[in-house]
Amino acid sequence: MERKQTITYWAVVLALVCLLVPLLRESRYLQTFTAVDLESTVETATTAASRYADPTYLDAGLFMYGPGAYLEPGSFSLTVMYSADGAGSYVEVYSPGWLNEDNTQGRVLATMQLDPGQTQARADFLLDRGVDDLEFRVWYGGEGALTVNTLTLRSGYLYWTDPLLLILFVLALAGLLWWAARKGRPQAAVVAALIGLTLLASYPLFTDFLTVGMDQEFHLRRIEGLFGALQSGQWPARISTQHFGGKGYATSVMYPELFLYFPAALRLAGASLLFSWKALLFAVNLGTAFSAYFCGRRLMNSRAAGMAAAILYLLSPYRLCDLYIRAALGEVLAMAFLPLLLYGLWQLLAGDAGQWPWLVLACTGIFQSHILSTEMAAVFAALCALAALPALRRPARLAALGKAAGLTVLLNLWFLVPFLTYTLRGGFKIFGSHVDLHGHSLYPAQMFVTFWSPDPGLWSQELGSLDSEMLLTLGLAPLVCLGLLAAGWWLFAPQTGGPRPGLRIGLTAAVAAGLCLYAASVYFPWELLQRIPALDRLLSPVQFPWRTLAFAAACFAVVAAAATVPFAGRGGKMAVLGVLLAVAMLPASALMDGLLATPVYMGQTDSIAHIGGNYNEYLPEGVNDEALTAASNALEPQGELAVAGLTKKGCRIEFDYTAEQDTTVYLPLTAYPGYAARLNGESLPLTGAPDGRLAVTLPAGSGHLTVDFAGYWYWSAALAVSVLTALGWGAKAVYDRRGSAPRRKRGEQVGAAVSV
Amino acid sequence: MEKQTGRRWAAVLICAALALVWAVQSSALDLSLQWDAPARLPAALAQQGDWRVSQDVWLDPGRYTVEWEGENGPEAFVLAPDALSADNREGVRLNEDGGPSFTVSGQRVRVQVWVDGQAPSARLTSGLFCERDGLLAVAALTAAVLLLARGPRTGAQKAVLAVLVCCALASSLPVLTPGLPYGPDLHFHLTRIQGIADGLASGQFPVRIQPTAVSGKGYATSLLYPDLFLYPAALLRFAGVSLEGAYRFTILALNGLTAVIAWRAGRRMLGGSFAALLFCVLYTLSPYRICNLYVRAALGEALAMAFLPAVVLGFWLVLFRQPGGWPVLALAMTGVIQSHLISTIFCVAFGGLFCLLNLRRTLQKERLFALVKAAALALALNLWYILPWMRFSREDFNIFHLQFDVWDYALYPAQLFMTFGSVSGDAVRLGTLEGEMLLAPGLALLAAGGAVLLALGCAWRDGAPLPAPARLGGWAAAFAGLSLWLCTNLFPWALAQRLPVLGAKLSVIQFPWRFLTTASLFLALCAGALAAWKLGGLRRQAKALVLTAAFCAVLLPSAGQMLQKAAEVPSYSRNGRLITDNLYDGQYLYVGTSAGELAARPRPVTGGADLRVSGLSQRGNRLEFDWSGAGGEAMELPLTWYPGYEAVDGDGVRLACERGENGILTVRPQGDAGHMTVRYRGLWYFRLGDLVSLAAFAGLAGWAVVRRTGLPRPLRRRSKLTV
Repeated sequence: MERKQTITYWAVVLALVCLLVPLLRESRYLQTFTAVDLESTVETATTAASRYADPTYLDAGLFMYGPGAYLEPGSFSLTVMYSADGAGSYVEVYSPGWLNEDNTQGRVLATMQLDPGQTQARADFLLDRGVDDLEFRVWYGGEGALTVNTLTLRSGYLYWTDPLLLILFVLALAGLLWWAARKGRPQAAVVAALIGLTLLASYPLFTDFLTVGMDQEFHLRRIEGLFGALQSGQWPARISTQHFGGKGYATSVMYPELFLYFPAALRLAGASLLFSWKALLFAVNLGTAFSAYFCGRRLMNSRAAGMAAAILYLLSPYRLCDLYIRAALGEVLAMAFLPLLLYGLWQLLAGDAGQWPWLVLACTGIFQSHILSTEMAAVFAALCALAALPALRRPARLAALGKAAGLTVLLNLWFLVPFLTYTLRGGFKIFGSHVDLHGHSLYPAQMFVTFWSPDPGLWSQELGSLDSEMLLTLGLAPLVCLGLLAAGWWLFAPQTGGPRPGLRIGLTAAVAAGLCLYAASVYFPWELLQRIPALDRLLSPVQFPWRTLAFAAACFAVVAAAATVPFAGRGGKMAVLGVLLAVAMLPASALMDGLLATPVYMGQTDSIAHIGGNYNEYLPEGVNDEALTAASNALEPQGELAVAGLTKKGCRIEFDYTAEQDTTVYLPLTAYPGYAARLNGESLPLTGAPDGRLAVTLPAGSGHLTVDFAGYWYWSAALAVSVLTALGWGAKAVYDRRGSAPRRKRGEQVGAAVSV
Repeated sequence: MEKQTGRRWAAVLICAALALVWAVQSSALDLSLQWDAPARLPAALAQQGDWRVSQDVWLDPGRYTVEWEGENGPEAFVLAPDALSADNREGVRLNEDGGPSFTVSGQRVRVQVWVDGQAPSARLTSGLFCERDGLLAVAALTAAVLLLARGPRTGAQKAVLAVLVCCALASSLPVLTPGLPYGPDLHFHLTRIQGIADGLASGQFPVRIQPTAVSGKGYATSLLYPDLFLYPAALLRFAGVSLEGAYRFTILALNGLTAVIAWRAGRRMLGGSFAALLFCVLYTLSPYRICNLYVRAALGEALAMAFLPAVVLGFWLVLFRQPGGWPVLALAMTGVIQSHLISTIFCVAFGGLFCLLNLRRTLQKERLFALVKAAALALALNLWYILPWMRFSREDFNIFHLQFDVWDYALYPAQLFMTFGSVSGDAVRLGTLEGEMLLAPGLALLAAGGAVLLALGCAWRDGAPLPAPARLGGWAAAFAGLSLWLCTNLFPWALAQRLPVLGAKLSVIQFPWRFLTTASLFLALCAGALAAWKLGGLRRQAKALVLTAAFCAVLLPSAGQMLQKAAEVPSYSRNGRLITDNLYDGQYLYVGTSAGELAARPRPVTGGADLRVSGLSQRGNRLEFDWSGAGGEAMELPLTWYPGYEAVDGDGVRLACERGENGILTVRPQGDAGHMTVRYRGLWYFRLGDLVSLAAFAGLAGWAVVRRTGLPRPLRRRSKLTV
């Protein structure tokens, strides 16, 4: 691109970005509560949305309280619209759960008088920590009539940095497009098309609310917990701070969260939880689009093939269901790497074994997304390897496999070691019992339906009826792809008799897809396999055989790529892509449009703390989640104890104490292995309370206690190994690319070079 | 060959004959009467008795019979409760002789059948040709077939005709089924059609105050909402076509007109039939236009959409081609002005922006002069409507005090991508999409816009020169983007509504998603431009495939809406139940007037205690009667007061008409007795406007004839214009 074109391009981009500047008005918290949004201590007369107090039926005292708002740190003002005939009434801004330095709870953050003769009162206050229980307490003075109309809570601008971050992302996308344009016109067209496709698959995100998703609450809590952990200084995060009133939950140890660092980082940058979640989903879609394109492009050496794979995979109803309806974030993250896995496996077993680094990337991505998908991917890869055993036995391929496996393990050691520490120790609820897989398998009719209810209230039902069954389909597009593959290769491809690698790959992918569908269907003998105890332990965690639809979708993406190859000329390829887009978009649109019309689950000002309950799979055995939630969020000494200077930041608690005798204190932290306590710098043993909290016995006297989650020394060692491995591998890749640049200029093939 | 032609004509005639038989058979009314206990008894009935009343039935002029099941039925009392008797009593008995048959004459009336005592099953029937919808349909179809037989000669012409007919028919599916699908504005537009018919019947031309609404007291719809294009529907009512049938024909004609105008405008701008057809298909079947027609029943906006392609053509001709095309602009703007005022504002705003962005061209003498001439001609042609509107815009009507949170009805960007949605006709505020109707341009049109942007981007990157269709596509894409931005909450509507002066005026838009009108237009134009630029070299079969694909792609969301509506229980059917008293929330009444109380006010003329009225006749909003005993007090007449009413006594002396309590018309007579005639005349300069418009129309018609017949014209000066 010429310099003038670059300047013009960025001028246009900046001009368009300026159109987003008015969104900055959305960056502040502004909510108006009517009086009826608050609770009242008596039945009071209301007109419209007001509450009315009168000395004939109400004595001086608490009149109204609520609503339990969620606020992040910042400065706020509260404006109350009212009318008062007598003096003595006032409004408090109060947080009942606020933990004070002396171990008491509850703090008044601001007070304002409701003077008679005025109609409006205002108070400003500052929050240095997030609260999720902010109340406005209206105290009635007992004289004259008091009518409370509205209470408006507002912050300053940039309370949320969502608009700024949105502008940043738009600039980043523009930058990506510009980078591609510099490479060439086809690259620019491809990147533009992939961005367009991503927008098409992401449009349910372009609102200011969230609709219901089945597992959405769990993953939102993970993000919040990770954010809280990072904010409190845990790096990497191990114990999430979001659950059980902030006592902690070991999601980060038991469930890979690497890709959640992105939304957590956005939260640290001031984004709202809603924006962070949506940004993550958009990034997942974008990554999936590029991943699928890469797979199709490289396997078929055709941009049209890459686009076909991207269209089919990105708009697969099963993937969209995972993304929006099931909100199965882990699975959909793993799905983003499945095309890379297919590419890596093909190259390892039948192509260029030197492409093994892509396999490492794929396996790492899958493992860091979803452990169940890792297990399924391992079985899939093992079956592929078995099918290609003669080829795999060649020394070069075996060496590549070894290198890929080794590198994958080293890169993921930072997660594996803590995970194995907890799992081998045992005693966690996650290790459940037998699950009947056959009962949740699919009828063939379900696999290719086009229209189905996207109601998130539906679920995977037992066999015998499809009433209230959730959406579990790949749509008609895979069948169309098979038809195009057959028609293309048998009718349009030149019958030269020579090798047809595209057809071979396509047929292999079609067979693999068929096997995945078979595994998901009622015809697969799950009951027989689950009679073998070892297999049952391996298979039960999968829970639902229709999870293999993810692999089937990836395989059909390759089939779609192969189907474009025999159609010669740009017109033919565009026609095939058009047909695929139309067929793929039909069920995708129905799903996404139906979802948008469902009830709102969460708005920008809502907190995840107010929504849903807690999970308990990662709690130690014997710990009851309800009891843990109900337990106090302050220190609970079992004797006399004076506390001062108490601070709690995530999983770190610090305080000074004075005790006349040895006193056991229950701490508001879940008793996971890995916590460390230091009294005046000396190590102090920790035990567990009956309800699952941590407990420590303080010796008589006084001192300064610090309790923090430190993990184990070998966790840190594993982290160092993974970081060094990643840095080393990255450096080698950069070096290889720079070193191969002159060779590429001379038209030579490059190993793992990325091309669009 | 002759044998083949003969066989074809025979087939056509047989079909026509069969259709005629159906039309004749279905032209009779046959309605089952349902009985209920009345809430109150009308004055025309004796107060004793165990009366039962049928449902309200609206009947056009004709002869009807109440047919009882069994041998002997009770005596029926057929009452027109809204009619005034000559002696100023409310309610006129239509079957004075007590027999089962009765005649409705003059205008459409509300009829009730009353019986004293047990009411057996009964049906209300008419003779043949009560409603002539079927006959007219057969006649129109036969005429169309005859015309088509003489029409296109070449294959290309036939192909174009086929596409246009398919577009018109495909977009008319719901009106080809029994009944009319309900939309929130349907009542209002049916009221307008009937109001024009009643106004013409009462001697008003043009109709200013529609006599039908407000329970026959009159409503200023025609003064404040342009309705020129509803006159054909109103005239069909005089031909005996039912109100439902008149609305149906209007929709069919509208869809045909939209297709033709889109195609012709596209052909001029895009330089080829294929590109024009693509534009026509995508525009005529665009989801928002279909939503306007059937989900919202927003007839005015749909009418305006028919002319928008011509407006674009007009501006394009004046600024980029020969300025001599300015009459096209004037006529197109006339079409829009006479359809929907909000769309007129859009045309002026977008046209003004287009001129501003092409300021150099705009300021070229000939082009500027052409714009001025277009504006002048448009003004002249519409003066008959504009003058009264401007006069009435000074009145304190509710519509000029609309406070609308425009920002709260903006669309989420997500909605722009939707294909499937509710057909409820409801627009909800921001915060949720539950229950909101489908408001989207359609993925096919969005894809066209995206494809144009991609093609332009690639061409720009390569530094390739852009041909004319590409430049047109660029403009279309830019304006489409602007329109889409204006639809959404990305545009700072809340901020705009706080601006001084302009902010208060923005309420008139009501809903930002109205900009989907212009978005659909420009996105469809993108498709046409892309076709002209990139697909012009395709073979005929490939072009046919592209057209078919576009047809299917755009029809899917549109058809989904139409079929959903058609599958609903039709709100109206030809059983006389059409209600034509929708006041559009009383927006054309004065502030402070209670629409409900005004409508419920009894109809007799009232005044002093001794007032006697006789010889009363009312035809629409023309009232004539003899009176005595007024005692100097003002008389309240059953008419809604608006400026322009005239009351004269028997000597021709004008009497003052004033606004009475709750907006009723009052007249203070002189003397002890006399004769009074009250009617709506309008103000003197209304007539001036009528004459100017008539002259302008005549001049334009003459110019068109001269142009077509090729009579000698003055030589043109050499032009220095750039193209």
